[in-house]
Amino acid sequence: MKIDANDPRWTAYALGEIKDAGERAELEKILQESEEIRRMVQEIRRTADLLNDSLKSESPVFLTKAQRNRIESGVTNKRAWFFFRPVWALSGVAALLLLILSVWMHELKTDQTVSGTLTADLRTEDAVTKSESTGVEPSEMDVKKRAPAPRTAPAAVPPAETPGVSATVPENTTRGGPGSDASISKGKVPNVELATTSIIVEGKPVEPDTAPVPAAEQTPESQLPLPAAEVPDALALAQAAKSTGEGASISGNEAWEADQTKLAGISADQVDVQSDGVISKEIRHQEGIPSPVKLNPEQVGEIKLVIEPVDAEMGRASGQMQAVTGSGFVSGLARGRGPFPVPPPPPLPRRPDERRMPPLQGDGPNTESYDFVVDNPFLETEQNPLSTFSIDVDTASYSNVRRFLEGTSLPPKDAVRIEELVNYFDYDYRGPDDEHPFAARFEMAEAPWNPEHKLLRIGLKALEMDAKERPASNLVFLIDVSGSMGDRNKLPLVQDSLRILVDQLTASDHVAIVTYAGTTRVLLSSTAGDEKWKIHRAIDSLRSGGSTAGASGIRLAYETAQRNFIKGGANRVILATDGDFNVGITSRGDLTRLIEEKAESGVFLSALGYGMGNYKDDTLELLADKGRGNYAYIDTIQEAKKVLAEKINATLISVARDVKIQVEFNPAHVGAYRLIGYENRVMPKEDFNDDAKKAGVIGAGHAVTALYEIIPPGKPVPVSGVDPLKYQKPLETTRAASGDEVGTVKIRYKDPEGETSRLLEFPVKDSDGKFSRASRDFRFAASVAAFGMVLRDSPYKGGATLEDALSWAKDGKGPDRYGYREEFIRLIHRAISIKK
Amino acid sequence: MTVKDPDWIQSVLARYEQPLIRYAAHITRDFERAREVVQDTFLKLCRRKSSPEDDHLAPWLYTVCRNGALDVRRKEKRMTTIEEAPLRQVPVMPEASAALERNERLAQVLDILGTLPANQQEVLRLKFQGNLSYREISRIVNLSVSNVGFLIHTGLKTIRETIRTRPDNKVARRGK
Repeated sequence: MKIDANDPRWTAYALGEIKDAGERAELEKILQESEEIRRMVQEIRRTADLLNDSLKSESPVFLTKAQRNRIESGVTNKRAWFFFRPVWALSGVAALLLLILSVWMHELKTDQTVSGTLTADLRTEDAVTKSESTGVEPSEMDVKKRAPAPRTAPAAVPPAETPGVSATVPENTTRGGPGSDASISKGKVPNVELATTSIIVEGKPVEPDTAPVPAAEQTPESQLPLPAAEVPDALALAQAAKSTGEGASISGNEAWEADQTKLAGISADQVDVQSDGVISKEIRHQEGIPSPVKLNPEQVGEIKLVIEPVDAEMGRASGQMQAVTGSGFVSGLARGRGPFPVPPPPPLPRRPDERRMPPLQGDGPNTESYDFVVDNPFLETEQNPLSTFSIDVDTASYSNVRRFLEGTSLPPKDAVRIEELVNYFDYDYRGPDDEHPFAARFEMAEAPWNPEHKLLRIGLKALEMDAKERPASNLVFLIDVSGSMGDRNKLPLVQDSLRILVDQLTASDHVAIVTYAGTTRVLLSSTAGDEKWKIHRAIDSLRSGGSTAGASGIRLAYETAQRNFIKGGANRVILATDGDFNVGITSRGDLTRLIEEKAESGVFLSALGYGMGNYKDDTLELLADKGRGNYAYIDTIQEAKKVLAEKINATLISVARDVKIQVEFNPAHVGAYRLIGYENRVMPKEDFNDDAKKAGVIGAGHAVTALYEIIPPGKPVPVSGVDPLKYQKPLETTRAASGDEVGTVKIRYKDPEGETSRLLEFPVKDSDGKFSRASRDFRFAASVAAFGMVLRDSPYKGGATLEDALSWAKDGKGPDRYGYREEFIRLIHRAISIKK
Repeated sequence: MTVKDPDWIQSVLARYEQPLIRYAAHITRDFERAREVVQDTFLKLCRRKSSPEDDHLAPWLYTVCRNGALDVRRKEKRMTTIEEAPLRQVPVMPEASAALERNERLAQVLDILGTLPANQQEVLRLKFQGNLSYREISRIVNLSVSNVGFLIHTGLKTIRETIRTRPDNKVARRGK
């Protein structure tokens, strides 16, 4: 056999890779006979050695110390909890303050019979921010250190920021109440949001000796102060409570004897805990804060802390605190998220159907709306004929989910907001053909994941605006240029985004750039859109570095916007950050108030998230909400193009705001219904007609989709039955119910500058259509919803699987002009392969 | 030694940290990203219930590292600003004249390596920096053993011939 000198086997031989003895013998035979080949083999070996040596000579590149630490700690823990910044390790402790509620609630010795909901929101500032924010004026600074009050509380747990604290969640605060259960489920450490130090507890216990107030009448503002300084001690109380074995009883703790009923709260963004009191609505309360809603301790029997790790790899989780009433009704209380600093205590049993309890909406007299992590459940039409929610055009969740999947991990469940996934795509809804700024289009067919059920799709399509028709824009980019923004997927991508935007601008537009890091500066004063060279030069000069202690960054941005205000134009501050938006106002309450004020004066705020993942995601969403703008997460240049070029009109121009939807379902056609997604947009029915209650914004050309899953009457409903009422007659339907309407969709909106809302009403006919006959858009939207439900592992996903979502998406793909649907299909593939 | 043993992890780190980072870097074209990828690789190792057996460890590490690096590169590709991070660092060697020559020679080899097509580079690094066998390499990069052999053969041949014809160190950089 003659083997060519060029045969790769010679190299293999030279490197000792010929394992087969027979083959080797053959080769050696040829070697013996050929001088040329012998020399070649020698050369090969020499070259190999040389290559070996040169590779060795490359200077060593090591992992950073932080990275090594993470690996080493990854070994010692069962799960690798790692965090963005090591110092956060301690802030998790503060989250345990949620437990305060359990302690206090139980102490209420009152026979008032008000029921209500308890919500608590806990945020805390981490020590890092504290050390970095040297430039912040003291008056704006939230208390970063909660110095332990010199109280005689059994100091079972040291205050929040003492290093070395191990945040152990007290195992349980069980109480022998009806339906009570091990309180802390899963034993995971709650997360703490890195914002201001405030504890909000909505709903509240009542003063011990107040005269009983009948349920019908509630005094909204009963004062129950929360001594700020006592906050850290509440943790001690929880510990004490636990150790006394009395569940959440705080008797026996002298520190509380004098003022047991100190529990109150307003929503998180209105309260700040400071070292010398609590500030709410500009008023400093030495003793605490008033709370709007009363709670009946008899009813609210038990507070549980339910914590779920959202993503072990990312070291994040969310916590939810729930109040369980005497009758076993569960309502969500608080939500927080953040990193895990410590290994979790062992998991505890949890009531199996706890997540399926209906939310408080439509039930009871309280009027708070709050965040839920649990999916909207099915609601029986008889008990809850009205479904009310605010629209949402944010798409950040989709980018976020995409980022996880492309990083080959499944996204955390609460990162998946189904409505944002569905709304990421364009649908062919016809725009308005009357004087209204948007049109509503409906379609109904069977639900593909459960053919016994139907799916109702509501589509809103806003007025398109031609590029030429776009009113002049006055934009101020507020850019985080702190050190952390140096990553490739952050500042450089911001720069690319700006470049894309600048391309769209004309002479009548103005753009300015304000940066914030250690200091704040106006990098580019308001410049006409056609002076592209000047603007590009400023963009090119963006550099990261410095701490994130902003000094009035946002005020400067607003001032700049105000100074160049264009009447009738689009005036916006666009915040670009990786989550660390210390824009000079560290009090979150103050920040949101400022943003709201400015929005009312005509300068809106939009938020663009870069490289921040899940963290701060809901804060940015909230700020954009208050700012009447939108929130997008920009993870790729394509996304930047989408948001800042293709959808620029939608991003910059609102055609309607405070857009709310209220659906009245017809019990003759709908036994029960479920709103898919929009969990944190759901509103109490009273808020629909209350113009003071804010809602979402629709931009020019935006399409918004909402999906309801409908169970026809007579079919089984996964809801515990409600007892028939003793004092009211059973439901009597009107004439309208006997028609063929499945329901009526009402929409309220305000003109962008208006203060009074307008009402639109659309009766919607029932339909029995088969899924396969529904429009492509309908089928595609359903596939996205199914995908979201599977990722959330929703109890309502029916028979849906990822493979199903894939096939529905493929069927519904259609022309897909920009390739977004194709990308989604790829994502499903990814998810499928990750799950394997 | 189990995954839970910190000493074991240390020894694995000591042995593989360098070559893995280098390997990842040539895929991600960026040391920062490469370090992240390698960190994640080791973290995944920690998370495994049992450690791969010794002779499966290297291929496992390289495979996981490779996948991570490719993912990063796929994402980075979407961005227009891609910095060209210098991949080759100046060799650190004593300054004797013979050594100087050798230095230059080594530098030259690295240069040539840098001009080879990506798949050859990858496979060569796996072989000569990772010290993996053809079989292990074939599993990591999803090619047949003979494919791998061919790539290595061709790569070495190019290096060999380039040194022979250009002893003066000047290597034409192929535009990428």
